[in-house]
Amino acid sequence: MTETAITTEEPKTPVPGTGHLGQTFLVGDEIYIRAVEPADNAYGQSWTRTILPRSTERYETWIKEEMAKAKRQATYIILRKSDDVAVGSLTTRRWDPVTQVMPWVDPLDGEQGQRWLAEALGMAIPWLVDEQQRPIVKIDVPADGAAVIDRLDAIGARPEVRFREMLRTWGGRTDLLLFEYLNRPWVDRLGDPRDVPLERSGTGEPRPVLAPLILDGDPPANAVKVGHRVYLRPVEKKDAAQIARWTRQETETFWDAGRFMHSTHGYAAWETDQQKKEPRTWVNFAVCLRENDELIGTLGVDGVDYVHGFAETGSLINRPEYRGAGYGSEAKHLLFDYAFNTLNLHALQSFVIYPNTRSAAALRKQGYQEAGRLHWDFASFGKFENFICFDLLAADWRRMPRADFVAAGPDEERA
Amino acid sequence: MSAATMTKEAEPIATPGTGHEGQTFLVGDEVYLRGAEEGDAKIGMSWRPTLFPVAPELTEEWIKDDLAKDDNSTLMIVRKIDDHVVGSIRVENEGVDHWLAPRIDALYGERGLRWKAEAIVLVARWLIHERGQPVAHLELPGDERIVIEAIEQAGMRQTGRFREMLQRDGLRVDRLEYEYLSPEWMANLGDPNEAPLERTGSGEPRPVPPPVTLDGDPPRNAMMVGKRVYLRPEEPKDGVKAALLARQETETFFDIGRHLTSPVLFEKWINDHQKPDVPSWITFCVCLRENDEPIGWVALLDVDYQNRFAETGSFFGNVAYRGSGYGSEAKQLLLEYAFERLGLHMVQSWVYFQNTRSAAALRKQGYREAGRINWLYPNNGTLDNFVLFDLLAEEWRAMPRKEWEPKADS
Repeated sequence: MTETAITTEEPKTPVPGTGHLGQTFLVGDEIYIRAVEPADNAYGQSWTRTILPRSTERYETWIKEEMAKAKRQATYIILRKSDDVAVGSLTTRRWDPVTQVMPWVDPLDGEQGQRWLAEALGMAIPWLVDEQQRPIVKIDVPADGAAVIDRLDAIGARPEVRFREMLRTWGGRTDLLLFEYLNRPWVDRLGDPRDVPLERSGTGEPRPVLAPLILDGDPPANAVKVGHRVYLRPVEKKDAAQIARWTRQETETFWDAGRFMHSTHGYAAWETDQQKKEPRTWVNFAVCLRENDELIGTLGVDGVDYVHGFAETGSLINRPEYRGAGYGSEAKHLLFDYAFNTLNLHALQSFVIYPNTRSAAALRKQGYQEAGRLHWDFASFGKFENFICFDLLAADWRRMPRADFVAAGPDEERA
Repeated sequence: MSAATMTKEAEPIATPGTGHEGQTFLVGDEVYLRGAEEGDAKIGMSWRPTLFPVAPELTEEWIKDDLAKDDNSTLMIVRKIDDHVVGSIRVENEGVDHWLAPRIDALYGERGLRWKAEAIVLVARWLIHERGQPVAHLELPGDERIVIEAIEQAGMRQTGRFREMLQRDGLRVDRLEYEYLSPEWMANLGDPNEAPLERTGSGEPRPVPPPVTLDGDPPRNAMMVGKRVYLRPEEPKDGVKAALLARQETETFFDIGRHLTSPVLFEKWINDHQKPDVPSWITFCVCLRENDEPIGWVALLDVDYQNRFAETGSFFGNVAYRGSGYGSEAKQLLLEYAFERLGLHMVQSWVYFQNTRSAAALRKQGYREAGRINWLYPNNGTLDNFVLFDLLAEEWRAMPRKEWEPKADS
């Protein structure tokens, strides 16, 4: 075969408006959807889900080298039928049973852009779930996109979570909505996940925040935030062996999908990678006792979004003797101080599986509000497990009453 | 906290035989499992899954870089009495299914097999009964009687047998496919072994077309030439065509539904496969002899050069060339390449349950059913299965050679 023989067959879309011809699916009235092609770099700024500017050369490298390496992730371009111009994109990330869909349309296209995005989602979601038989698709959209939300409602996607004020928009902030679209045969098999009861423990009432501590003497070595009984310091390489050992000694199985084992090297390598970054999207702290500097657990913020100003929190007190005595909550408020007052984040979110009623109760006590439910996230004992979602705004946390430190009883955390 | 106190806390185990104390799970009678630690590199050859000698310094680097950043976890198999590492087990996860890849130091002989079996059962039970996962899969050489008896006693069951896939001590050995299923998932989805496999076609193998004698020059860059088609190396440009054809797909049963794949990705795969000195994927573009038009793709996937087997795969993106025998002609050229030029002993093939058409084509090409792998992917409200096939070189050589008149495939 000669080079020219192949070249003549290439889809050069010589005549604008013919790019969709011959395509058998995902072609709508105003737009069509296809995979990324090298020449799409020309419109990279229009269809990439970012408000940070990058050159067409940078988009070219990204398409050819980086995007092709992404595992379990695909990007689809939304193109206008009339002239084959790229106006937006849908990025999908699959980890069965879940496919996450991250939609985007050029904000400069205004209301017509929202119409195009609505049409794209109206085609792509049934394609993923009804044709490709993925069990569940989750779509995150800003709460101010009425046309998109109307279309999602119309095809039977359901709004399940509302994270308050999570996104920046032109001149302000808006909520982030998470929609879900379920595969009908799986609903017939397992039932509607909205009908699964959520058990609760605890009062659900927030407790006052401990007033900030004024240190008399020196802070503990290398401490970043100091409370009455605990302080936060960077995780050190040597903590890894300790943490790996504790994961082998865990007695509880309800936090997560059973127990997991860390390897010393795995934990150290992960932490080292994070600590080399500036700024950091995953910030982990060692929680130590003030009385003897002993390590009792770790906590941190993950997925820090510096553009929109939010992050996810996570924590684990590894040593059972320090669970249920308020150490976790004290450390968590030090983390809030770091997230809201040092990183100046606007909001935090947190996710807890249904069976972990204890962590959910602790979050409510710490001031988080329930933001909704996420369903069918991972396989668990004959069904797919669900998450309860929480959020906490900096403004909410600042308004919480401050109280003086009083030593807590042993059952405080379980209350 | 001073460095000195930290060192004290992280001190290695003092008394041999106490390493498992305090551990609350994955502890058996003779062995326990833990993540990799400092010092494991010194006896890397006991547990590292490789056939090749590697210095401890390099294994140390490998533990800290590759293993530490691996998405899947590798656990050390450690003897309880003296905390000596005797093997490892990798737990691979791609969503709903888990695969156990155990490796035990062969120098331990039967003792090692006993430890291997114990490790497999520990991990399978942990995944299914503590973590609620649907299924743990395992591939096992057919001559490991000690392991087979132990895991069957623990409730694992055999679902497939690839004949003569492995070579051990000069003998060909079958490879067995085992599964351990969750009772909770079984209650909700039913027993996957009872899921019927639909069949189309006669199931009878057809003769192999005899080799073609070329009159003139071979087509440019061709490697295997048949009567109507030939195989040539893939070119990056073929990826552009493949991406375009994916957009024009009309059938939804080959895979589950249609897919849109970027030409950039196709090009990358083609380049990546051709880069290594000893490639594990060997892929060909199928072209028409009459006009050199590319009409499809055939390939050997995951070639195992030590055991001399591979998986076969094929796809004809152009709808116009399906069902007219082009696919089978190209596959026979691929099999000739695999058996006569590469010297493979056997090939395997995996087909989605609903793709009865590809299964019928494999039967016609001489493949035999080798069992199934259950619960690998979500489909239509259940976790669905693959049907397995194998074909031995000697069987293929014994098939009659006869020219056939091309006719509709199904």
